[in-house]
Amino acid sequence: MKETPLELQICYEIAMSIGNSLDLSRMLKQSLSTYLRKLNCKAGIILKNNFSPDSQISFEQVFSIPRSINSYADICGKIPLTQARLEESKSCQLLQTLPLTYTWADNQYCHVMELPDFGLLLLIKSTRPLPDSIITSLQSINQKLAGACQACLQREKADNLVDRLKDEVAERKKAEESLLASKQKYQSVFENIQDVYFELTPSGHILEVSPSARRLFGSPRTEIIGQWIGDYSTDNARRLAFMEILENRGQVYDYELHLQSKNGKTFTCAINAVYQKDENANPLKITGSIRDISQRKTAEIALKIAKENAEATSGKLRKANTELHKLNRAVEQSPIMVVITDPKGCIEYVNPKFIQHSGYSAEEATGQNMSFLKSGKQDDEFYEKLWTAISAGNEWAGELLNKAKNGRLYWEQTFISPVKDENGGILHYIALKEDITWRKEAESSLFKAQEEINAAKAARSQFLANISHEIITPLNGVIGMSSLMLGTSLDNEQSDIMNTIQLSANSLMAAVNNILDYAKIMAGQLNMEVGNFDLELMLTDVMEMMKLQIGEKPLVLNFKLYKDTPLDLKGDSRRLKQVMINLIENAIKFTESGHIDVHAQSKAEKQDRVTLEISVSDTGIGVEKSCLDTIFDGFEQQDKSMSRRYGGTGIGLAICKALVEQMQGSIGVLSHQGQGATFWFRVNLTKRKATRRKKKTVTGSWYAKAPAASETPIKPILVVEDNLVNQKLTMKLLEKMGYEAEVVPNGKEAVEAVCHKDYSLVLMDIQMPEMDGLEATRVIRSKKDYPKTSSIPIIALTAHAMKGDRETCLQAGMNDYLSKPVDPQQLLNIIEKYMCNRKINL
Amino acid sequence: MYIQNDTSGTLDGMRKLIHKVASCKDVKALMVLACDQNEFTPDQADPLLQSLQVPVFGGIYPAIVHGCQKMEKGCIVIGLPFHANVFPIKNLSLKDDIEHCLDSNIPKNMMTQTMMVFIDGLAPWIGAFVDALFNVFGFGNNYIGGGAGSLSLKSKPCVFCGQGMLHDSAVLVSLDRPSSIGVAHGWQSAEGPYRVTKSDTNKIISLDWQPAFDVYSQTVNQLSGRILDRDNFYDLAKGYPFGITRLDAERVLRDPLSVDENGALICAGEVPEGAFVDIMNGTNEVLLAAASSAANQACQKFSYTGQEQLTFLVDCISRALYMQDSFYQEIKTACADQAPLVGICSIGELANSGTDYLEFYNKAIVVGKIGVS
Repeated sequence: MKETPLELQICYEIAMSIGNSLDLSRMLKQSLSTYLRKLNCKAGIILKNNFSPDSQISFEQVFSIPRSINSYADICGKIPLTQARLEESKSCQLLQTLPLTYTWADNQYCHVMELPDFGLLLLIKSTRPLPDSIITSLQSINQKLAGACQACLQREKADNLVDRLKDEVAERKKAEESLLASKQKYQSVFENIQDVYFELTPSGHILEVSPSARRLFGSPRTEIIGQWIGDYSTDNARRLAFMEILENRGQVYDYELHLQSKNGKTFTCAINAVYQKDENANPLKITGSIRDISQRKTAEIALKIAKENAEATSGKLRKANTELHKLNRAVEQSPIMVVITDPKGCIEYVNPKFIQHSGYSAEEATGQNMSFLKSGKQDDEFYEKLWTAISAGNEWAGELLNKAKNGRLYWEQTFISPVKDENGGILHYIALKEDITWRKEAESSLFKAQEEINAAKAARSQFLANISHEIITPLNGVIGMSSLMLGTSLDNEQSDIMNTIQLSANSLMAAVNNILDYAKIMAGQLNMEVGNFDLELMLTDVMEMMKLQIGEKPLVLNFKLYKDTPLDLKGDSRRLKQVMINLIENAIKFTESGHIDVHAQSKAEKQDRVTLEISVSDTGIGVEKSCLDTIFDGFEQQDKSMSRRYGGTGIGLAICKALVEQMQGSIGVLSHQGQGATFWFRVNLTKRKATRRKKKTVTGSWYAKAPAASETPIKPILVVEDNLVNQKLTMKLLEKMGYEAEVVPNGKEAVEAVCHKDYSLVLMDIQMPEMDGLEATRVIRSKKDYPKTSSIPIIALTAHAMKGDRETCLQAGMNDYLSKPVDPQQLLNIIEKYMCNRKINL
Repeated sequence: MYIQNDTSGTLDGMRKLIHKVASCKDVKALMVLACDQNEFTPDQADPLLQSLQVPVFGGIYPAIVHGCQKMEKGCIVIGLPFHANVFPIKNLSLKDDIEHCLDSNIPKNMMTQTMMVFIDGLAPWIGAFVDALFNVFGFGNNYIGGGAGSLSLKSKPCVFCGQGMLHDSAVLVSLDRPSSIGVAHGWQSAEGPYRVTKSDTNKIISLDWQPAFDVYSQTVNQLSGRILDRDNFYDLAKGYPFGITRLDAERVLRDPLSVDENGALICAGEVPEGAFVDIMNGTNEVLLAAASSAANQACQKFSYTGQEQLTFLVDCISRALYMQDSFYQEIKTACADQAPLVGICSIGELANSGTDYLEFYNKAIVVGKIGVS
């Protein structure tokens, strides 16, 4: 098909665009863009064929417009020729089918044309394909393009070759220059070398030496050449050893040898030598150098010493430097403020924490006197003291109230330390400051809170003291008087009424005592009164007391003290008794019939300590399983009906628990409802030295019986009591116990009385008009003219039952202490105790 | 989308307009088209353009179009409800490797359906730039744009972006919005072919081995019956552009804008050495037919079904000058449908919808339909 004039123009323009450059990319860019423009194609790809040694052919994209054709992979994927590797014969067959036009559904046409001996040209066109006439014309144009591509590649190869040749020439030239330079250098070195260069025959005859040999050997070079090296050696053995090493190893470095000059002067040399051999390993000659190291040897010693010194110094410097860096980092990153001033207090350095805290920049702070931070809230005297301390070279620590840039006041804990020179002169001050504003505020709040707590505690203590005095005193009267009334002749009805009154009053007293104890525990005011006691005696006392509680119940109170239990112990026997009584009273209360067993035994012993276990088992109603966990909590009873039926405040066991725990012990219960209960507690007590032990297990059973009468004293007892009811009660009790007694209403009269009459014992109230019991005791004890009065037993008898009361009484000179309400048995015990002593004293 | 115009031709007028449109709801980018007659300078306009919080792009043209109205003074501000990535490519005269320049300025893997090109229409590097643009971005997206500048043929700052008014530069705007493009010119060969025996980018030095002006003027004199000289050069030459041959499509035209002291013809766009050119001629009727063809191409290819569309017209200023009063008809043809139309009377047109090699046209009408929302 013949081309139209337009097509001819187009083909001409395309042909003219080919080969304008020998750079492949540049040439293809111009040619291919002309192909595309003129043929109105949207993309073109040039592929180059690559032949592998196994006669396979593959095509590689070398150029395209646009540069990245998104669908290039798709295009090539559809053309068999461009896929993977083909056998050469196969590809030849395919090439013979070109040009080919591939058509895709969306009016896309891909014309594949051969670029002979180079590769392929792919032209992608939209809308309509290229006319056959153009395709035909393009074959010859493509040939030109292929030729141009080949030319570009040849040019590229030639350029590479030229480049390589240029490089080689340059390298050779460089090598020649280097050789020449080296030769010149060698000559220069040879002429000017300080060391002696030598060449020897394998037998040791000198072939060549550098001119410097004259300085060493005292002869001109020409005279030395031909000499035997052995003639210059003073140490034949070392020379031979040197030769042996050289023969064996082929080279020797820094071999030290003593040589001598023509005039007999010896010197130490370091010799480097190499055995030169031909390709058959036949020795040719020995070359090397000789260096006079006589001076070096001397210098080496000096250098070694200097080096050691330098290393030591360097080490110190390094360490100091490291320390300095560390210090610098520490100061810069310190969470506390650091300020360095001159001796006048002018700031020289502040750390970032100071800047952050005060709000002043380093520039603003530097040069200012430290006083610029003053808040004005601390007086001049305070600052004068500070300056007096630090200017005398002392350190100062204290709290400063300073002002930040924004006017905020802040407290800081400040520590100022002078930095002194070697003569003690002050160079700087370093101030370390920590913001304690929050702490000061917290302290202030805490102080206020503590004051409030103390006030509350004081009020509570006072309240408890008042309560105990105000309740127990009249109650004491009721119990005592009813007891006395029962001792008179009463008809049956009156007797019943009085019994009821006494029973009620006792219950009330027990409840009040429990409540007071519980209050003390809650207030942390329950203190242990540690003293020596006899365990067996204490237990017997308790059993004696408890048998009275059984009343008319068909109960047997059994007691068992196990073998080997230590008896002489140290602890608070009163509190121990209280726990036991509480448990036994509970057992009696909740057991209608049967028996109550009290067992005491040592569970563990260690050095001077013993763990004593006391258990109280009963055959009563037992404890519900659900109550076992809470039974020792305050105000807990099995159920509300219990308190109605059995009475009680429900705090007895809580008190027991607190007391036991205060004695580093534990308490517990084992029970099944309806099958009785076993309450046990363990306490840690101190064994006294050489304590007695129970030789065998003892048992006993108790039933209620009347107390035995006491021995009648010879001298009367003085009762000092202002309250008429208490006067009457005490007097009646004493009378009932068989003692004679007299009463006075205050301390002043008591002093008078003991000075003028001989009493066996004084029962002294504390709170009284005119003169209180404590003052009266002090006066009595101070009466040196009345020796009998100074040793008379004085027993405090008071409703004061608070912490410290007992100590106060003992400190005033009293012998013992009984709290009201007076327990008749306790009163009797204590009277007997002191009357007995008194008797002995008498 | 918001389209507003100001006919005052003052910077204050443009400022008010820009602020008004920029403050409208959902405006995510601004296209600003201004007339050369406004004589805006970078000193005046840069602070305004740099102060904007949304991407801005556009240029200064001999005339602009809003609706069926051609404006030679004032400006049009279009508030677009979609995001536009704006890439200024600056100082292109100083760049040896434009492809590298594009590679380093524009991120890879950017989602672009339509690339708008605002370019200094009098720059000598336009041919290389268009080649580089196509080589880098290929035919995966549509292109539409035109040469900005002044009919005084003095090169000056004429493209807009957030950095201000740029000189010797191009602004590429990547839109992830669908579009369709129609392009046509209608001019037909009157005489030729002539071979471009020597050229230097946009300068034809010789035709058929004779001084270009001599060959050109002889032909134009014959065709027009008038005498072409340096004084009336463009007045007459605007009716006789060169047409560069290509297969299967209208010739690519080159508008001879002026003649230099050596008798070389300065064209809007590159004329390759060795190319065959014809001297073209056209009547208002064939030019209007071409406008209709461009509009039809754009509409037929546009399958967008969204509610809002924008017709962006790039019409060569020489067509406007040549067609004079009939140019109104041309605009009307372009905005035949109901879509709002804005446009530029450009110094060279750039258009491609993925079927051809990307070309910088002269004396053509480009109708672009852009899906807005």
